[in-house]
Amino acid sequence: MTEAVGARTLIGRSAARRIELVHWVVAAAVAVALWVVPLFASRFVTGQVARILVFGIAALGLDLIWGYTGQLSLGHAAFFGLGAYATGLVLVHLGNVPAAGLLAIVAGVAVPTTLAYLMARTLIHGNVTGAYFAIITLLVSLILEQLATTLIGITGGINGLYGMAPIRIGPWELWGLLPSYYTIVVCALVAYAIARRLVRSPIGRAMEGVRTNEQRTASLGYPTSSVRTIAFVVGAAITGLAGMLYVPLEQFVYPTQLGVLLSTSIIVWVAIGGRRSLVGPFIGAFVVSYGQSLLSDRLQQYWVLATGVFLVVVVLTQPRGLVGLVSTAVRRVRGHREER
Amino acid sequence: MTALLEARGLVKRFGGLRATDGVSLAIEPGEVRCVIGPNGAGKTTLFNLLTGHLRPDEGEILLDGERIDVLPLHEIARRGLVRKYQVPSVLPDVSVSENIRLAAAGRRRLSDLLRERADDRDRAEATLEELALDGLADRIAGQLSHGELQRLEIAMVLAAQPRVLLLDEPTAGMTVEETGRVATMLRAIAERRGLTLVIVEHDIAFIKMLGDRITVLHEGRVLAEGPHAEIEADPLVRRVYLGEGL
Amino acid sequence: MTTVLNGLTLAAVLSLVAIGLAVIFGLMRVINMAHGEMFILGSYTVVAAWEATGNVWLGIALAPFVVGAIGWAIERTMIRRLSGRLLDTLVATWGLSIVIREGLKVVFGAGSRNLPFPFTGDLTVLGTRYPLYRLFLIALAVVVMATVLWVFLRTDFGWKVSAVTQDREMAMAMGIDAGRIDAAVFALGAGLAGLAGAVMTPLITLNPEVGLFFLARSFLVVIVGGVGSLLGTAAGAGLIGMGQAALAASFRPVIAQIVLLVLAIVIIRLRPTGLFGRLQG
Repeated sequence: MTEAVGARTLIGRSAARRIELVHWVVAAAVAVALWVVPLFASRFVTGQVARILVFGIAALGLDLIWGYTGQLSLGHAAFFGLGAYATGLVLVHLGNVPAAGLLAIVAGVAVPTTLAYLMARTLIHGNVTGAYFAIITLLVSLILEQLATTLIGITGGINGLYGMAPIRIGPWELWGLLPSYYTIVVCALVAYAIARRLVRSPIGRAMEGVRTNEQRTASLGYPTSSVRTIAFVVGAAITGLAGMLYVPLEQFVYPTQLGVLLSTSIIVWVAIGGRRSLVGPFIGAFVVSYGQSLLSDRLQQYWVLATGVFLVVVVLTQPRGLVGLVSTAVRRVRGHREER
Repeated sequence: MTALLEARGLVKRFGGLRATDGVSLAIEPGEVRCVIGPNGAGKTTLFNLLTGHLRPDEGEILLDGERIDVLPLHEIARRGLVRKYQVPSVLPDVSVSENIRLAAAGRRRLSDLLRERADDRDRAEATLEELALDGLADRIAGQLSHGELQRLEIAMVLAAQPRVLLLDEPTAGMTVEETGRVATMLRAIAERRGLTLVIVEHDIAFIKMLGDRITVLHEGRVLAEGPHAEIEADPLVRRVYLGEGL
Repeated sequence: MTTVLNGLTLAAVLSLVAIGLAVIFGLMRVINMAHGEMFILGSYTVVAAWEATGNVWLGIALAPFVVGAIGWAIERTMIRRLSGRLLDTLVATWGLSIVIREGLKVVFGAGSRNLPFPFTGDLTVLGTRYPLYRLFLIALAVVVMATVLWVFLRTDFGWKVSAVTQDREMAMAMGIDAGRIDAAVFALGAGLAGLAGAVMTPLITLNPEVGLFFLARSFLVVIVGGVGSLLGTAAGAGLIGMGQAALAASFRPVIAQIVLLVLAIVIIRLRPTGLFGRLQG
């Protein structure tokens, strides 16, 4: 009896290892496929893919917070825009300083991460979570957007930042389509790997615990405020990274990158792709952006309206998004097979 | 002998009601203590106080001589005081084995939690087998029956390696057979690991199988305390609680 | 003195908007992110009526009923289906707010517009000349708030609302139809926001984006005043309205908002139930 059980668990472990292997083979294949895109596709298509990946990274950050930890961040574009502005401001105002390129990249991630940490320290550790926290993130993003529009001397106001010095680190220049594209592919993979590592670690289980049963999780010994903080700060850092990457790609930083509309888009990407799935955010960003590109010019004005409709419909009918839909279907097919 | 878990003069008021009214307890290492009392006697409130879910208005709680009634929930658990809830409390969205693995790593430092330790995982698997849950390992916890959930939560609190385990009606909703099995198993595990158990129960048969000493609560106070036979013979206890049942 | 009166005007309007937000949250544990859109729907009701008839009063009279009906419909079709899922309700109503905002842009255009005052003229208050319409607005808010207070404290309906707020299951066991109470309160909250939007129409440069700013300020009011307390909401509105007016007199608006947000965060840390909210279980 015990032997049989032992054998069972061992098989369980090796099966898990095999699934893990298959997963990384698939991931590597996707990465290679993305790597060769510029060789075949037009500049326009390459740019589109780069943009979708950036959006996917941004959504991945929210997914860690909202999907896994159940903590909604309504103004998540604050971290995206702050990443973009931090990078952009360094390039505009400190472009001649030595190591400006490195500084710009570091600032692009560090500034949003710091804001997230401060918010977590003051709010989460004071037991301000749930809806109040979500609303305060929204207010923060509204204020940042206003700051960006009104501090014209520093941020260029509504016109934003342009004509920046390129990001240079030694001989390497991160600017324009192709260098940005390759950097974005690498960063997407790295962000995905980091998120996966976190989610599958005991901390990731505690994140699930915080979402579904905080009391139980705490009474097993987990400091739940710290778990929330980790998820929020890592999620904000990943979204900040996306904002930073957007600068060399677009060579332009503007206030709406901080604002309500982008925040909502990020929520939509996660909701449509599927919460609690790490590929979901990328799928959501792809489906939504591709859908938008199919619309004729005349219909583009209704795009934001459609975004709102999507949000309502997804939440009402399919809270786990496309990935949830597919995995339910797969399970159903498998169930039928096993019955036979 | 010094007590492992000690409560001194605990008082908890809800409005005008004194749900706990000057309760003192001393539980020694390795002891199995049952807490009984009629409904409304303050058993669950006492448990909530001991585990940090409620803060006492007066009195103090000591674990190994250290005050724990001022600590947050997770710090109390980290010091080895773990609780099983009356209504089974698990994570409904993840599998049975994930639940137990969560519990097994609960007392690690945060910085040790980025990678699962092999010994935590081994312990989780051993507990899974110990409670005969290995057949359900990959089932999502939310789909289990009530009895299975009870077993899962017991597995979780055991995997958390407590020094003192508080069980709030661990056999509620179980069949007579299951109850007997759980009692035997808890006794065995407690003896093997030197575990200290504090149990709230209604089931007299269960208490007879398990308890070393019994504390009888009534209207927020300790009415009597002693070995089973003594409690059974106590005329006061018979009158307020046990009635004709014994 | 003008600053004080400006603050009072803003406080009056904010109390009308925030009261719905606070009562709905207290009753149903629902945060209606489309509440700012209830405000602008009131404004656009006035615009539509004015364009059709040239009469501003007609729109102001219609707005609370039109918007109340919309609120009722939202509760029946959407909120009800998400009961108990606070964050999902938040997201769904957020989606709805976009739909309404963009829908208004399609119907009325995205541009800003200004409407004439239904009457003009100034009055001297304590030595300061102040527009009569703003004084009317303050008085109206006081009357409406007093009425609302009376409804919640002195009527059978108000008694039922507080019964459901305190213990939904117990209230239902006593034969109260909690679902109808939800719908009625949601309609009432929306209607009051609609009224606020309607009377504010001549004072603001109206465009569909305005709702968001009133939503943001109402949140500050609710955080400061606490939920489930009508007087708390009124006091919170007073504090935020006066604070906004005082700060806006000497700083940029964005600075005023930062200060108010920081203030709200400090308050929420020190007193999670708001300055005036009752501490409950």
